[in-house]
Amino acid sequence: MAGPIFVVRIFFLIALLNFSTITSASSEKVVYHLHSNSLTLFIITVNNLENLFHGLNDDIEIRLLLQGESINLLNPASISENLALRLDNLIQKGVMIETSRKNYQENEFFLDHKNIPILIDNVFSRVIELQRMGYRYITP
Amino acid sequence: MDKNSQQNISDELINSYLDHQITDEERQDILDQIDHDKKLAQRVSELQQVKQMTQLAFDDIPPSRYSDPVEPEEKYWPRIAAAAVIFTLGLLIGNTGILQSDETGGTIQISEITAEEQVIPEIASSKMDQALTKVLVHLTSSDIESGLNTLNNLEQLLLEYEQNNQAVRVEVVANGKGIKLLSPDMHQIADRIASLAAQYNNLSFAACKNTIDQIQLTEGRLVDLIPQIKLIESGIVEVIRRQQDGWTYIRG
Repeated sequence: MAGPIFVVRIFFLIALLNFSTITSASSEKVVYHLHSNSLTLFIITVNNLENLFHGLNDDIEIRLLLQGESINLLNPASISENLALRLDNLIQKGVMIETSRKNYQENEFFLDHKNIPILIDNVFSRVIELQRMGYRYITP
Repeated sequence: MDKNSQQNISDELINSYLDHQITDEERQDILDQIDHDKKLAQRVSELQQVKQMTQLAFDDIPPSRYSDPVEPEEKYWPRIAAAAVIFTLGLLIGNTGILQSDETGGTIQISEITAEEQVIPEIASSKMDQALTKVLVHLTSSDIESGLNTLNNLEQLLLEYEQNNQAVRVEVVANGKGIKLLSPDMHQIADRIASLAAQYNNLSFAACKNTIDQIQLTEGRLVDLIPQIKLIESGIVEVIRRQQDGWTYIRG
């Protein structure tokens, strides 16, 4: 049977955990959904993401979801060196790239293995899940 | 005569008579019958007594407990302190629950409907509505590969919810160039839509009538759609309305 001091310690620990979670979270969270294989859209996407970081003083958490052929954004042969560098920079800043497990396996051989995306079951389900978690939905 | 009176004058009519809710003619008629029919007179008397007892019962209702005077001041502060402690603990525990939910993917599970909610259908129906995931998929591109990929994702989504016994409702709305994907000429897409629509009754497809009218006006050709598609007045208005109603928006 837990004593009163033990219970008070547990509550104190919960309060500390809550405080640390609140202080470490970004104030803005965005899910950026890319669904087309187009260089123009890739450039727009990188521009948008850079602008988001700049506009919010880096106080933003971004998850970039690549659906279908838009996974070519991670193909060094599909984008310029400059765009690849800018994408690397965004990843360094904390952009998390996600794609479906199936899509990754189908295209794995030509992808840049420096930036392995987070693998998910289904992009649509993930979009719903992230929006429920408070992420704002943006698509080019 | 007695039997006829019993049959002709119902309790409902007698109640109306006692409540003065009948015409003078009807009243006179009943009075005449009461004079000649002892059983009827007795029935009227009994019903009048029941009515009076009912009125007395309602007159005896005690005053509302919400209008009770404020309790003495010495009991006031301990209650506030206790409420503050409970509130703080509630915040701590509640907040932890929300964070855990977020870390596990923020999935809202269908919680059990309480006895109170069974009594009050509005609460239960509101909770059911929250448990139902509503998704609007917006088709704006005529790219076939992209359209097929959207349908693949859609099928996986429906399958996933079905396997997890979670309720989901999906509406695919096409406007602009997306209308082209809903033509019978797009065999691959048309076959997939027909198959999905037959398999899932929680999935529907809609096309924007404004776009179709615009195509007919500017290109001078009639737009043919596959039979599973319903026409809506405006695709963009549908997109806005659905989001206002809490639907999750996904660009297909």
